[in-house]
Amino acid sequence: MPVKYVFVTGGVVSGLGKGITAASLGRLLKARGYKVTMQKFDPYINIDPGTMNPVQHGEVFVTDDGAETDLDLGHYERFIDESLSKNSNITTGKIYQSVLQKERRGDFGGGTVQVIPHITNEIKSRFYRNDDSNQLEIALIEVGGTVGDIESQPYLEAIRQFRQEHPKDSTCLIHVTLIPYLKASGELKTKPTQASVKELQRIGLTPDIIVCRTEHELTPEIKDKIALFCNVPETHVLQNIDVDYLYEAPLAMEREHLAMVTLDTLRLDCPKPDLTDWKEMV
Amino acid sequence: MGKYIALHDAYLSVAEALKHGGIASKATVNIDWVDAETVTDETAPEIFKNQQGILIPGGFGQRGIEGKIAAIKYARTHNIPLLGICLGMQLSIVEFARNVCGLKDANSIELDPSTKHPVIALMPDQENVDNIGGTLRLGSYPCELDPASLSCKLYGSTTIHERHRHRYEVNNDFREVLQQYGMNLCGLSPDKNIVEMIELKDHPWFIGTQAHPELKSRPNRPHPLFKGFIEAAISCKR
Repeated sequence: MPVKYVFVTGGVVSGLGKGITAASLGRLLKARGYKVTMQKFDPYINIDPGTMNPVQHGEVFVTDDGAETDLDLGHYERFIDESLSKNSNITTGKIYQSVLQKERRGDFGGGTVQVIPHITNEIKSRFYRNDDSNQLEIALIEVGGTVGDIESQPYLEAIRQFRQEHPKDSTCLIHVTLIPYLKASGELKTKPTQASVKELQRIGLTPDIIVCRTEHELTPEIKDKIALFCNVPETHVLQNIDVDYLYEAPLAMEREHLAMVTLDTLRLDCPKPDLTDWKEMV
Repeated sequence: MGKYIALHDAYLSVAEALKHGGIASKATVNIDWVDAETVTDETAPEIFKNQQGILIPGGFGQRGIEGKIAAIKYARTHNIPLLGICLGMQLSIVEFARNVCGLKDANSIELDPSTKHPVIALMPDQENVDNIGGTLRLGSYPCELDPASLSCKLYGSTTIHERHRHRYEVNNDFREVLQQYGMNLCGLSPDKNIVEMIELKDHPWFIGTQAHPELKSRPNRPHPLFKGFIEAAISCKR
């Protein structure tokens, strides 16, 4: 069975809770009976966060198979209630390590080793696959960092190529941005979101869904404006409003129909979710 | 309490697992973050006077160590529920060896390489490891629990699997003296070479684990140790 892919990128600033958005979507898809897995691609050059300072980078999350990974994997596991593996957290360091080993082995036959195609091919080869499975799976893939960073460029290029090489309904791109609120004028501002989507478009990526982190409710006018400038239907502009309690996030995103528009983009059925357990827990 | 408390995300899974424990008991868990460097035998009574439980999470290195040991001593002698994770378990052994077994300079080799009583030692397969990256004992390993232990009652099983991330372990040369003075080495690796869990016999709730149970706790399936820890904290009247 082919896997369907949901890529999640971030714009404007870091620390937008992209991981929580992705994990919430994972929970909402699982609640609809879909088999879900998650991956995080981190654009730093460390092989893994194992030796990084916890005060700078947060905790190191360890998987069953002994990988030292980003703390977002903890959110993933807690939200989707699945155990992840070594292949669930890939860093630029790991990508380069593998490409350089291949170069030393002579795998590239004397060719010049370059970011495109060698690094991007290596990135694409790490996107989740499960050829033996007879069940459809949805892989949620988060790219760390912010669109516009030098470090994330090879990942975005890999996603662009991957989307180009696969049927339109097998991938979905979600862009998570910030809608800042200006207290003095009492306004929500969409310009940073427009700029960040422009940046994505410049490299050939058009998001299917825009998730807006905000402290205040987005009015229909604001959603329409973002839709118009960012080239997506209004129904694909969703707000991700601050919640008091972390585990409310999937329920808040369900109210915004995040899973529904994702499944619509992937041309998959959208049955009624079973969130009884989760609601009771919250 | 810990030494990386400037960034709460440094203990993200621990904090989440505590919340999950609270969900199981329909209780709100309030976490007071205590900087390990502020704790001494003198300051501990004031700092912990209202606490219903003390959790010592994992960590590395020298800073804050004596503060953590002072906190463990306070929890042990005041019957406050204590959960020691990884380094937290190792320091519970150090505290017990010093203050109960009378091994005054007991320490971990990691913290004092010249100690005469190295109750925590480097794991034998770590001796020739030079690189620090990716060389810890990592991932899921099984552990056999003493069927009579509180830990076994909490897990509801004699064989458990937990994720690990450590380079040091309980020094087996000191097992006898620790047990003699009332520490139950209640969890061992299946080959019995590694002490995985400890608990105190004369204490309402004092458990240490070499593993990181917080990594397997889920909001809809709270981890048994955290569930038990919160239950014990609720019944700890202060």
